[in-house]
Amino acid sequence: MKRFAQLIKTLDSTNKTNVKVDALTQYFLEAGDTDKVWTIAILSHRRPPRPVNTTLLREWASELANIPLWLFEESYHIVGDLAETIALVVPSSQSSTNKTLTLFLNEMIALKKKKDTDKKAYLFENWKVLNYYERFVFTKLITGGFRIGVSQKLMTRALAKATEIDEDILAYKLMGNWDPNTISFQQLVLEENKNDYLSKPYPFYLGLCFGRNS
Amino acid sequence: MKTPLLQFTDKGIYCKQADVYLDPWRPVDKAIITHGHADHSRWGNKEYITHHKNIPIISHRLGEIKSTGIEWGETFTINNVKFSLYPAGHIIGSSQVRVEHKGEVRVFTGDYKTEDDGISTPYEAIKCHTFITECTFGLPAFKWLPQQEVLSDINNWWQENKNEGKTSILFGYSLGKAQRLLKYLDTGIGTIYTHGAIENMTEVLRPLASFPPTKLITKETTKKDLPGNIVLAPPSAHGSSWIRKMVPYVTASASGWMTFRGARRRRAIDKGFVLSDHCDWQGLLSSIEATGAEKVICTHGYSDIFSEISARIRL
Repeated sequence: MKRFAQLIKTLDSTNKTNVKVDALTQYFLEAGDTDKVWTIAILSHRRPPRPVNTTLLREWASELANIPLWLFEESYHIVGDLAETIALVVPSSQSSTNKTLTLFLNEMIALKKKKDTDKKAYLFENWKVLNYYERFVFTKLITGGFRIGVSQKLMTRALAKATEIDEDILAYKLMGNWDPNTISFQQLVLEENKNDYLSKPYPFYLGLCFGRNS
Repeated sequence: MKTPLLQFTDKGIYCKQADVYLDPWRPVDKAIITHGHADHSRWGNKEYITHHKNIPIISHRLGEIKSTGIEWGETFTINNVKFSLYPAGHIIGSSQVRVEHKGEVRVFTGDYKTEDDGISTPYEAIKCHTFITECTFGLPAFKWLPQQEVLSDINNWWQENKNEGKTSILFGYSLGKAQRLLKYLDTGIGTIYTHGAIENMTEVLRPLASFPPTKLITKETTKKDLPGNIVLAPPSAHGSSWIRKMVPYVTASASGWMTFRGARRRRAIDKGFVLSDHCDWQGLLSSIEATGAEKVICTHGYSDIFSEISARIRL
């Protein structure tokens, strides 16, 4: 998670496409395989469903921040992003986490079926120990929205650079139904598959003129 | 009904008993000025009363003015109303105004911060009955880190940009923020270049505090002088042709508003450092507490929200 939060921070702190692609490429070269699969899933709109509804998130965040709910709502209104508001108002922590992104996402999937008291305990536990940016990313994953200015195409381009697999083939591999929980990086990205090439359109020679005798 | 000692009028905060305005926004005869920022010290008043360190600043900005310089804690009386100035810690020469009449004390903070920045005289809490406080950052989302941490992040950022052969452009207001940044920039990394507005203001302040040397960017400054070095510029220079000559560069802004990702992104700035010359949420609450005031009036920023919370705290 630490590495993922660092990636999001870099992506978030630049307006330059090349810097974003380089940061993603570096991430794909360094991160663990399951974390890479989850990152691809998150950046291609395959996030796990939201485990806690936003009404509860607001109530619990204002409770931990020790501020009345109306003041939390006013702050949210001005900040404009729920995960960011929560990360800002809860007491700050300088510690960090060693848990992987995969572990966090598995916990969030399991959390959906749990009781509210367990959900609250889980959130408090993490909000208290994560540093600001990790807390923001963690809450962003919980709220389910993860638009951070990186398109699927940009992510695919970075993945192509990191794996040296053709970008179009990768784009095809990442299409369709796959479950980040069950598929490995090897199966999703690295394995050669004949079907990968089926999507390549036949290179019609549009400029070719058919003569009368052909 | 008794006239309040300080009242809000269309010209600014007014003390009728002494016929004096505090930081008036329209020309008046007698004005007490908290500090040199343009929204607090405006042109056209017949007389300016302010801390003596603020006089060179407002004279630089406003030209020929009639001014009286006051020391911290020195009392001056106008029509039996006692006035005195106390440090506000916002920028060099920034003051709070204490007004006393017939046993009633009111304090107007102007802009202030509770953290000692090592340049301006640190803020002092003044006991009063009514506390008129600014609350620019009066929301719990605003929490400042100690300036040392932020400033070392800024120097690290400069060093990283230098390693990549880029020019670092750091935006901050030309009075106050620019000098606070300048004071702590690490000259071991490279040369500090300045925009004209910042260079001029820094020259005015050099007799009042020590700052590292700076180099003004002029027509003679060539493209190859800048990479690896840092440029201090006012926010208005962002996107100007003046900046475009500095390619390849990376931009950053140092401001309390950089707390919000959206604020930075809307300004299309690469990096945001959260460094403010105002109080954060906790700073506001603790300074209110320290004044022991029965009544708190909020101006600037999220004043409605903050008034609500400060009223509830007092209950």
